[in-house]
Amino acid sequence: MSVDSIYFITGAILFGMGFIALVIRTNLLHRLLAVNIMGVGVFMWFIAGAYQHGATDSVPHALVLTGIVVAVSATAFALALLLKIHLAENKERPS
Amino acid sequence: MLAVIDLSIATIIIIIAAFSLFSRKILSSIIYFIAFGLLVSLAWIRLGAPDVAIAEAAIGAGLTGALFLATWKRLQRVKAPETGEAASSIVLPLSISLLSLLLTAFVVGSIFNSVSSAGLASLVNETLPQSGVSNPVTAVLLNFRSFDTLLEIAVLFLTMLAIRALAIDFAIVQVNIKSSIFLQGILALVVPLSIIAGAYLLWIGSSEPGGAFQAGAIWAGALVIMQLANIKFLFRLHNNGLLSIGLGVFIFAAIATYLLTGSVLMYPADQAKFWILAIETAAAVSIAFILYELFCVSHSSVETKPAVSVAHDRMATEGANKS
Repeated sequence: MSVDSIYFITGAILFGMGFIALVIRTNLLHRLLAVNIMGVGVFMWFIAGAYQHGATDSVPHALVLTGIVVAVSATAFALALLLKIHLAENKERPS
Repeated sequence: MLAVIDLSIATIIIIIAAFSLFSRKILSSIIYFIAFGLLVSLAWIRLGAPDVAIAEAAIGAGLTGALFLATWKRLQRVKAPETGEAASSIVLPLSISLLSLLLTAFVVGSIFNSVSSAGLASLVNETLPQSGVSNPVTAVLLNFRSFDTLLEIAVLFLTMLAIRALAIDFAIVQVNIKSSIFLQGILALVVPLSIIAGAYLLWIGSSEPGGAFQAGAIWAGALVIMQLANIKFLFRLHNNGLLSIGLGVFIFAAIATYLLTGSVLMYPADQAKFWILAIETAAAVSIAFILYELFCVSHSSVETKPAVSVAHDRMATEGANKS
């Protein structure tokens, strides 16, 4: 079993597990974590694909770097929305 | 034989991901997610992608984890305690699971006969000498595909604006961490070290793994630590100029290169390294402050005043009422 196929399969499993959790978990924080893990599964595909061609391919690496930064922006925005939803439903009590 | 290492890394990654996705408590899910990010960065190193590994460890595990933890902490104050998830019908989860397993099987099956193209590695290696830098990832990010990177900085900037526009009262709560000799000692070591490490990664990014994103992420980490330990800085850290300098310099470079060479972000011959370093430095500063800003917003509180002064005000008004 070659190195890249190990990570191809891992990425596919991560995506699948993340998708299952996205559907069956009801807490929004859990769902957001699930989306992040699905994203890592996709990144793993890119990097494993770059590894295949003897010399590693830098273009997918650059794409994944961009992807990581965009993922953290999207997560931060989603967390702010999530906070807003909870604040609309409940009042914050001072700590 | 070497595949044994990869097999064990992959197995641990899957197990930790399962813990993170399916554990009952949110706090343990988040902590498993941070561990997951660090393990994934090991996998990136095994796959020959050190640039991605640094970014994953700093942003994917570190900052995303900090964002989740800060939001979780704040939700504790907003919500009633967890009552556990409502039991739902087993049919939907089961059918979804079967569907996604089928999808996974299809995907795994398709990879073994799909990858046949040679990729872009040879093209990158051929044109690398003209790019001004010798790290191929930096060359792709800031020369061959620099327009994508410009848009990426714009995405970061827009996210920051969008979060501000949500108008979650933007006030930083001072965490009441007791200042101790131990904490001061750790900070005196960690903060300068991470500033130097970030600057090193920024400079070395032209020839070795590293670059603007990794440097910015590490600086953001230092800022977050300082924020948590309640350290005052020389100037106000929520500085609009620092937040927008990256995008500004990038757009300025796009216009300037258009005027000089006739096409956007096509650097003048032999000056590519100067342009790339100038853009990277400005971008790294902005990335650091935007990521820090994202953290601060999720960490801020509805109260517009620090807890201590609120208590003080309350005592003052009560005193006034009595008299």
